[in-house]
Amino acid sequence: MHLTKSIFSRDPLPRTLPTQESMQSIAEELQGYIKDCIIQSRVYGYKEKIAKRDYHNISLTQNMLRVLSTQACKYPELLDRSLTFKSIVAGNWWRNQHHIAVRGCPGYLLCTPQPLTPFADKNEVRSTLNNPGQDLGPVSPIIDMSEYQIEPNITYGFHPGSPYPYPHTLFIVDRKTKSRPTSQMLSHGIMYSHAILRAVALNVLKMEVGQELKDHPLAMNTIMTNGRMFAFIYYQLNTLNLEDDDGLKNLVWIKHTVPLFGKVKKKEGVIRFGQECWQLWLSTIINGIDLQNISEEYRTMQQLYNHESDQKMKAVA
Amino acid sequence: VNQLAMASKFRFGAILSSKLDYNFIHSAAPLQNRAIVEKKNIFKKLKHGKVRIGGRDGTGRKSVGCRGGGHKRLYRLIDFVRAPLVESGPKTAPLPVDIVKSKVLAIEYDPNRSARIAQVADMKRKYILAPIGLEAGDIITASRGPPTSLADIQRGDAYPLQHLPIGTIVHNIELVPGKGGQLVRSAGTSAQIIRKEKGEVRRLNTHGTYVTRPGKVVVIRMPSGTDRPINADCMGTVGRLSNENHKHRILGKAGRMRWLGWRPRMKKKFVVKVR
Repeated sequence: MHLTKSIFSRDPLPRTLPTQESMQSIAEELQGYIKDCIIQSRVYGYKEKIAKRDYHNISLTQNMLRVLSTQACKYPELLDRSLTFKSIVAGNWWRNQHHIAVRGCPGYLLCTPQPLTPFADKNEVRSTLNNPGQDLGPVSPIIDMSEYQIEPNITYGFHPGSPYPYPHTLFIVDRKTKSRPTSQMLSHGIMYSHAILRAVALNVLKMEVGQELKDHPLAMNTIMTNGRMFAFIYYQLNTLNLEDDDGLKNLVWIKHTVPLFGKVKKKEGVIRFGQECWQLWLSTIINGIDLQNISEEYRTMQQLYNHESDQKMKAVA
Repeated sequence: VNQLAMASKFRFGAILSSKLDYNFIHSAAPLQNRAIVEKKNIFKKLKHGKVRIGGRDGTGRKSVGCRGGGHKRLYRLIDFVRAPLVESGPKTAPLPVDIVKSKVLAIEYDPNRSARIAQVADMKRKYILAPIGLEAGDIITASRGPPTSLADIQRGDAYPLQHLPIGTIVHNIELVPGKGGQLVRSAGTSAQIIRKEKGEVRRLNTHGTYVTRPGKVVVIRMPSGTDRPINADCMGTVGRLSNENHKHRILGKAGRMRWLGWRPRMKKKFVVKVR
């Protein structure tokens, strides 16, 4: 948090996320399919005795996205996105006389043609001026980091002029068999999301290092899993000036250790399905889509279906 | 390689850098592990393997009896120096003195000593000897200069003995300034400052030899009860060492001594002296 000059927001979750009432119809329709995805990844998707984290983690995330895409006939904007599997993220910045760099292929990146609406208002962004930031004490922020000689590149995997330039969500999938503490995973998510948004601001919006994004702050989501537990990070970039502790700060919303399910058994199926996790996951991915704007094709198809079913009922009667 | 030359290397390395990049490994390394320490100059991790000596010396013959076996141990690198020694020559200007502030992260077990150790972090992660009452989250200071005020001195802080008030309880006391703490390092032990006076003081010369010169001396009462004069520039850590019930433990069986690396010891009347 200190290295990216970011602070926690007052609200536990951003207000611009779609509410439960607006998503109710979709959530009820797809809940059964999601449970089938879980059973497939944990029980039937492998030949060995136990499901390895490599298999069930990746298959779960991909299948959940496919299940959501079945709603594309209703909301065609769901398919107007690009999903990249190995986006190379590279970023570097100066923070209190330390030159910090981020490198890696964190996971799947979902991009959209338009940027996400910022999670926080202008008033909340202005109130970060008074916040002094995190106080680490005598412990230095680069204590466990190592020095490398690298080229100072700033990219997020896309050339300029791509049709889907703005990142929407980043899926970080934990593939290590040893369970890692959530703090490590969260730090991954914060650093990578900051690096991606920084690259967008510098390459796409053509901003300069040290500038503040007052009028058009950038926002993105990250979802991290280890197969059962999910963590959600919502990051908003307000400044590119990280050398000092003054000025605007970036905002972070975090919700971690949210289980999607308790156990999975062959006969009984999914035990203790996590409604909260499912609702959060849906709201992060549907964020940006107008749920009231249903396509005309879907409406005509619905009318036709009803008309046909009425005729058949009459014939039977 | 001589231990004296090692100490001299450390000392002048500290003068050149005068910052926190000192190599505390050269301070008070146990005799058994000298070979391992000399090979690797810079350690990335704080633990490394330890060769079990079994009481044998460099020739391979037994020099100390009743040693051998025992559970395998990893050696933890302990910072006995706490703050690097910075001395300027007679013709140069005085160099600034560093104040090292660090935060305690956790208190851990060390199989190589009776006291507990504390993992501490400032610019790097380090281990120090843990005094009684030290907890995770505490902030401790160390410097070769005087403290900001005598009321700010807490357990775990390390200062030169001349700057500590008479009557303070200290541990991990140096004998030669800059070398690292050598006295009072066992569990539950502590020494007390009795008086300050002038006398003969032992120091390291530029050539790496010991030299006695007149200087300030601090007299300390050791755990055995004897009074010992020590160079006033030597560092001491405030407080009494942890694990004070170490001497009251009951081993219970002979096998527990064997786990600790002690072989059976014969009674004196049965020992035959070979002429």
